[in-house]
Amino acid sequence: MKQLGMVLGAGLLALASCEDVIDLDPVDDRAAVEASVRPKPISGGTLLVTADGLAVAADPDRDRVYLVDVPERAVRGTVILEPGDEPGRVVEGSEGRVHVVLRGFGGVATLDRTEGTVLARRWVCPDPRGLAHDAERGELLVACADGALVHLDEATGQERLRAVLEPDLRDVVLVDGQPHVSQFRTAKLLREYGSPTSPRALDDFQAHVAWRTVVDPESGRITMLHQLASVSPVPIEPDPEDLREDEPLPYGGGGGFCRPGIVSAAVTTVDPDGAIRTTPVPNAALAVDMAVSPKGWVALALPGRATSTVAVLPSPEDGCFLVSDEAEDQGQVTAVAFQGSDTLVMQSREPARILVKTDPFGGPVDVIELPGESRFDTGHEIFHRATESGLSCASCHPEGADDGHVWDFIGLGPRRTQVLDIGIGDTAPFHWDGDMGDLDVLMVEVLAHRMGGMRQSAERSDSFRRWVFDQRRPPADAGGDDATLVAAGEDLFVSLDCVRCHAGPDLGGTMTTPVRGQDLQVPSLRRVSLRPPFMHDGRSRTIEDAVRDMIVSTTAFDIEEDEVAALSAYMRTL
Amino acid sequence: MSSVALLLGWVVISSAPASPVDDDASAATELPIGGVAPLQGGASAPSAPASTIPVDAAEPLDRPVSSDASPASSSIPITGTRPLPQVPERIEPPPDPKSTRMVRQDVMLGPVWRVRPVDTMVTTGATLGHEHGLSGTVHAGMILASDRRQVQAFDFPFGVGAVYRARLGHRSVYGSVGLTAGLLVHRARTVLGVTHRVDPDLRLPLRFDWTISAATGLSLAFVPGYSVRERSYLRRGAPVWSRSAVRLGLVIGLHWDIVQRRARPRRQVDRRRGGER
Repeated sequence: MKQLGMVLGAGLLALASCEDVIDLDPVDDRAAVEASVRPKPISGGTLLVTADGLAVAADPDRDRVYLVDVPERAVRGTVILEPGDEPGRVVEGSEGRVHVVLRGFGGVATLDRTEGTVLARRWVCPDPRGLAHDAERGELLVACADGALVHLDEATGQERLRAVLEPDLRDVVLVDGQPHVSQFRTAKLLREYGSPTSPRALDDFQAHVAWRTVVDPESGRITMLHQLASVSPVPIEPDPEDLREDEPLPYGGGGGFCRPGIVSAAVTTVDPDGAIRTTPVPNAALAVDMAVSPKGWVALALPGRATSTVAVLPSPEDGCFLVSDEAEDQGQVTAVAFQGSDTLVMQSREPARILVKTDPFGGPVDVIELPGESRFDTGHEIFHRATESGLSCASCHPEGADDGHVWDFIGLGPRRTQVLDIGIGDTAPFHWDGDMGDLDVLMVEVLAHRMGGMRQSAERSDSFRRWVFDQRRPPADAGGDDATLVAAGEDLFVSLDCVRCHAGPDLGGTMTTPVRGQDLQVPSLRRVSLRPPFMHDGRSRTIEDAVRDMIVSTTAFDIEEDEVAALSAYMRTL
Repeated sequence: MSSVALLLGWVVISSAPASPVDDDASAATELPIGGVAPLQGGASAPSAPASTIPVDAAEPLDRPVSSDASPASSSIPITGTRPLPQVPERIEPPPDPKSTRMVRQDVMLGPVWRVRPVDTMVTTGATLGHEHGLSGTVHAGMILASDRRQVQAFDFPFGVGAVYRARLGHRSVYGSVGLTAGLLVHRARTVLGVTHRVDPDLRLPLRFDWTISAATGLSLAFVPGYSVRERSYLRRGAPVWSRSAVRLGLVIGLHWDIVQRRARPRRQVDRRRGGER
């Protein structure tokens, strides 16, 4: 009897010491699927429709280019590229040629649109992104992530000019023969010769992530699809009072009619006279591609949404666009284009399809199936699929990287979005403060709690972790600096004992150390030059500022300006 | 908004008998007599022998009163018929709360606090034992959570234990304190479906009963409870429903007795003889 009492007492004490916490966030326990070749993060803008109705669809997931006859609704041919080529932007060249950027290869492929064959492949830069064809000069312009704008002879592939602008270039368009280049993270519009242009500033929001920039050759109007990110203080955890409402709660609260959440899409037009108009699309947090019809309609590819992955909006104007919810799901659309004035052509990455609507605002959808095995992948799906808040991982980590935004988190202070595409597998704990012990913790705290996503089963979490850890882009390697200067910078990097913290193959990411009285995770320096602003709070605008800051903050050395230049040159090669 | 709780209970407790005169004469002789002496017989007729038992408020008869008695035999002149002394109406003796039993039903209302939220409680119970003294008790009930937007929760506490009852001043007012142990079954419907939890549950009811009539009265009870584990429901990491393990109910209502009877006399054991007497 005494023993029974002791057992009951011990049981009561054990129960009293624990709290029964029931998490109402639903668990996604669908079976995890991993594609035989795991797809890359969505980059969008892989579709070209020529004036005669030929759709040229680059498929980075399958390393193919499809040639589809839109009027006939038939696949005319499939161009098989090398594994890992990762085809991206497509432009129509002269004499029946089509040019495709190969991001994985680092160059451009020229295709024969009639024969469906590869005419040429040429290496351009480590991470080419944008592509334009200058018919007058007979050249191709390739915008590279490292800041190089490379002019190639279209016929021979010879490099005519390599201008180094600013890092993180995205698209290049021609207005009266003058190249205009968008910058991905800052959403600036750079000119090869002239001052940059930025989207119109909106109250409490900053423009980032220029997903797609196009130009109307008739009017010269440039239209940019980009994101808006909040500069207001952002609560990390949702307010329980707000959660009692039936409406989905955006990350950081707020949102509403014509009021973006902390991230939303926006369309900015820049007229030849310099007039700039920015129109938010509040309920579209991940819009990866845009097409503008001759009538001014704007089509958006929204691959994060479960339904209505394409939205067609009237001409940009003051106010906002709102994407309606239509129960129409023909695939995960990642690219859009107009054929003529009215026909909307869409590319679905999974399943691989071309979708055609002769009436963009309604009517039936013609489906053209494309050959190739499935690339459905659970990790890719979790990363891109929108959560209850409307956000997906890709909203702040576009293309698996980062948006370059400095958030004002309540209770934490300013925190720059961290990069993902440098191989973060060995960099736990995560986040600047190192408060996320592993990716499972991060998925619960950030994906489920802050963003309102579903919790994932252990199997799906494992699949997601493998997919995220696989993301690794090549070194920046701008190539614009003197090799001697770079070598001197590397020597300084060692002699100044920078390697004490920036250690390992990725030069950091393996430890937490006090900096200015604050314990912070040491970031990897891979591709660091591509992601200004620098430091955990984004206080350094340039790589040179960051070098000075780190030397002052973490060493007892005095550093000369020539040493700063050398270290900066070395950083640009990482 | 404070809610009220409804306590609906069946209470079986010992109490005074409905009739003060028991058919069982032997039992009647054991009754303690307080204030009023029961009559062993009727008022004496003039020819009847005088009673040796004093009667309150009645003049005792010194000698027999006879209408045919000779005046010569009496030194007191008889001028007429002398009226008989007034016999008071028979007064019911008070019940002995330690030796009677009854069944009581009650209905009570009141709020239940579980730290911040105020919920509604309905309970039913039964107590078996003595009106005055220690009794056994069982209870079962339902607590209806007030915030039901995301978590539609019910708690079902039930248990067994003991109460000690005592009269408080006025003979119709009783107080009791008890301790019960049992389980609290938590049932909630959420977006995830129906959730069940079972926890140990303790109650320490402090109750006041005021019997208005023979079988009906008012009850007021403070019912502290403890179900060991705090419980929270989270949405996106933030609590949207939570309850402490500690609760305090304040319930008020009606009760009525549906069974009352005197307890059997306790047999006394003659330990010297090893038997009963």
